[in-house]
Amino acid sequence: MSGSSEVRAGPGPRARMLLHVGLIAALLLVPVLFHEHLFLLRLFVQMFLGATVLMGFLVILGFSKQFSLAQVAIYGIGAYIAANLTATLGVSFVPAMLISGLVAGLVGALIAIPGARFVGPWLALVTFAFAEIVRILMARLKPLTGGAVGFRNIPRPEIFGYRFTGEADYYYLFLAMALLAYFVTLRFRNSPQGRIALAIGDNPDIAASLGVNVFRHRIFAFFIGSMLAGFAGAAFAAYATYISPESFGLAHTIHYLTMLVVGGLESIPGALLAVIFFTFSHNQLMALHPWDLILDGFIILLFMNVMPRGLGGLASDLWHRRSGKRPEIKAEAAS
Amino acid sequence: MSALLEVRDVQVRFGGVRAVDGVSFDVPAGSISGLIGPNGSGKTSTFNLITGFYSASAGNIDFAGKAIAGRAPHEIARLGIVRTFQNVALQPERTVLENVMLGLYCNRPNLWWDLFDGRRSRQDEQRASEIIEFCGLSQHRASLSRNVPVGLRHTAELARALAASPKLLLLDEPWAGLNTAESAALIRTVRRIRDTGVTVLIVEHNMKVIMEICDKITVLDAGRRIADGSPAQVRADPAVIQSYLGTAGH
Repeated sequence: MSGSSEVRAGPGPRARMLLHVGLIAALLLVPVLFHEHLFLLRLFVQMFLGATVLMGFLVILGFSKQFSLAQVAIYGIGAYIAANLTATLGVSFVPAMLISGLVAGLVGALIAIPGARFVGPWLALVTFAFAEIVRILMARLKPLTGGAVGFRNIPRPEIFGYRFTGEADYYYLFLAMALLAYFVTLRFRNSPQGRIALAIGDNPDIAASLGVNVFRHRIFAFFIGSMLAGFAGAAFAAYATYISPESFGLAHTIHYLTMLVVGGLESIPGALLAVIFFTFSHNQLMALHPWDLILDGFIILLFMNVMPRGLGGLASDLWHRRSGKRPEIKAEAAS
Repeated sequence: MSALLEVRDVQVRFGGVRAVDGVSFDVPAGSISGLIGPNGSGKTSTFNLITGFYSASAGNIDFAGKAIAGRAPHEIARLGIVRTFQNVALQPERTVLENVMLGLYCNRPNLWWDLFDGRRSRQDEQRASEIIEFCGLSQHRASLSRNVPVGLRHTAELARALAASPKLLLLDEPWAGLNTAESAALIRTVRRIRDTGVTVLIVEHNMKVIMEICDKITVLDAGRRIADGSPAQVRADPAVIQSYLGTAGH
């Protein structure tokens, strides 16, 4: 998916390809080998779900450094839209998921329009306010959301006549979604759009001085990241068959933020490692215990102090040390 | 030579302070021009004005016959004025190649297709590599820019600016902190850039370099223009001597 090995540090294209094929093959085999371990399959489903939301968050906060606290609220919007489309209007799962993703993306872009005028902590405040409004609306707009008790009886997905029944069905659906989110994010990262997003995150003045319309690209990053969250929300609604506002509170966004910090804020493999670690250590992507938040706080403090560039930064440093890319300090005369 | 850039009576105010106070000068097409003056004389402010980072409280700036004062920085960059920064502004955690590739996107009309187009991406790498080689940085192409020797960082920024295909290149103190060999290499690079048809405007404190490389020099002091002309004219100008030495003429 990436251009060549030389643009960025890391293993070469062939090694990456092998790693991808090997991991995907292993993931495809999990339900075959462990079809009786429902709990394990559930964990994997949660992991794929978390990875999809987190890839979106990575594009917004990790790449373009837009400090959004609205990611889970947007994920929730996707879930409620899909619930209404499938349960109330009888739309089938695939179009409902596409619509939910697109609408969530547009909502994200709409927040980004005033948001792009704010930066750093100010954007955090704006998106925090947005997330709270969404949470309150979820509890109050009873006809659309079921109110505080939640939205029940969301139909299970049916794709091209195949009706979802067991855990393994969901496993493959969520795996496909997570892989899509992963490859979209990877492709974005290695495209001009992604380099521009990273440049805006590093220093918007650099980007502007090179002809980048910073405002427009901030909105675009928000759109992509929110769309992924919307897809995840739609899939979650169809999986849980019941959704309520408590799954979409600010605490969950903080939980994802913790994962980004652990992963190194802008590293795709780092974020994936963090999702794996958090899923299998907590089993808490759907409902968070107060202790989880206290733990999140400690993890953020720990990483910010000990390893501010996270797992991704650690991997990058190790790579540069190993491959000896640190150049000797001497002037190079131009030929 | 006709003027590529015409700056007319521009003014920048910060509260009551006039950082740039009615400055006018021309940058002839195809020239290497210099903008010099003591610290605080308004050189970088003038750069920020030309590139749209500051807005002028008065005055006009014409670039290739178009009025550009008041336009946004990215619009000005797309018209063909690209700058480097006084405090080197590379992306430290990206490779030199990635930094330079960023410049290539400046004039690309539609970036959407590039999301799917891997071949375009390889062409970009190729083009960026050529520019890196042109600037004598091939050895550091795959290094993270935070690992590039300090003396070459401004050159890396210059390479990134070149990738944006500028008509006018603004360099903000590129010779600061360079040793003799690096300095000579950069002089050669800037001349070769000019020879490809790019006009260059330089803010610089290193008088030796400025006198050697520039066709035309504008001198600022306390936000005003005090002299303008060839290096020989400027060097002999009593106002310049007084500004730099403080006591001449008394």
